[in-house]
Amino acid sequence: MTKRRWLDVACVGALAALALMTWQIFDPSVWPVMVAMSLGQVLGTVSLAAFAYVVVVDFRGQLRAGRESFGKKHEGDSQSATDKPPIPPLTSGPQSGS
Amino acid sequence: MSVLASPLAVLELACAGLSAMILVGYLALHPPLVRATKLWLLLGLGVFPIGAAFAGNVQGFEATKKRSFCGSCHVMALHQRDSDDPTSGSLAARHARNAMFGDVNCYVCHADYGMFGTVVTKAGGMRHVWLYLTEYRNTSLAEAKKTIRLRAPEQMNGNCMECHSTLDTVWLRVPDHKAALDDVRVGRVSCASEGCHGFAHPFFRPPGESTSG
Ligand code: HEC
Ligand code: HEC
Repeated sequence: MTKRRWLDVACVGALAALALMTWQIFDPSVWPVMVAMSLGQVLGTVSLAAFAYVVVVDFRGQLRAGRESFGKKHEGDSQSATDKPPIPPLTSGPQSGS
Repeated sequence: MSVLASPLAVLELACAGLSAMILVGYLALHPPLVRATKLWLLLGLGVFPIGAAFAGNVQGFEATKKRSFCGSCHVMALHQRDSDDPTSGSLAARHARNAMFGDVNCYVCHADYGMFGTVVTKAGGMRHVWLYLTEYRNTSLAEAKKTIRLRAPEQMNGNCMECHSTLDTVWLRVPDHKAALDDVRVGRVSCASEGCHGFAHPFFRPPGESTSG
């Protein structure tokens, strides 16, 4: 599944969870309350977990992309690209503050 | 609307509404997954839903104490109707009229008190929900009258004594109270029995067993 598809699932799941949790507010009888406190919680938690998964995958993808581009730039270097993390370029703008 | 009288309900609705706006916005626009998008989604999938769940759960827990909640399983309909009736003279109904706990009268008489009172009561309540699902869902009221009984009636006096301490001098002056004091305190003689204060729910007894209350 693509990242976007995961996020779609997470959003729809969370919307469903919110609907369940809101239903019990208007109809506080046995079914709505039981469902909100069980299925609603599970759906909401799973949606958040799916989002966290996407963020982690995305972050690792960015790291890898950074490393690869670093490795390409320094093709002939004696050190391998994985030994050192990519160094951000130093900014040469005027110093602000003291 | 009465819903808006409860701050927790308002908080739940606000959190759910904000979250829904963000989520629907994301689904409609599908912005690229840059940092700002992730932050919005963190609000929409994390912060606001957790707020909604928190407020909703506390609200839901409170709701489970209400008489209307107890009465929403049909086998409890007669109990609810009796307590709702302002002319009923049953012991339960007479506990349903004050502002402090009138709307949660089933709970105050039937909860397990003590340190883990609420938790134990709710865990026990899950048993009731399970029984309702498995056994009583299609039970007629006539049948329910014959089969639904307290599991530990001897513990009921303990609940009465949470409010009626049995230490008050006026209470102790009543001859029957004085005579049965020890038996009452340990639950050998039920406060809610014939000859004493009558059954709490006299209408829920098969004919031969009923009392004037
Ligand atoms: C949550 C506190 C509480 C519990 C638990 C409780 N009572 Fe009461 N009881 C009260 C209050 C308060 C009143 C006065 C009600 C009113 O005037 O509206 C009362 C009134 C009564 C009366 C007098 C009613 C009348 O109309 O004269 C009797 C008898 C009584 N209770 C018995 C019991 C018995 C038996 C139990 C246990 C099964 C019990 N109570 C449990 C608080 C409680
Ligand atoms: C004054 C305290 C009191 C209140 C209020 C009260 N009960 Fe009871 N309940 C009792 C006692 C005592 C019994 C034991 C049987 C009896 O005396 O009728 C009992 C028994 C029961 C039983 C077992 C079946 C039966 O009738 O014996 C059920 C079910 C029940 N109560 C449900 C409820 C519900 C639902 C409510 C709220 C509408 C409620 N009770 C309110 C004291 C109370």
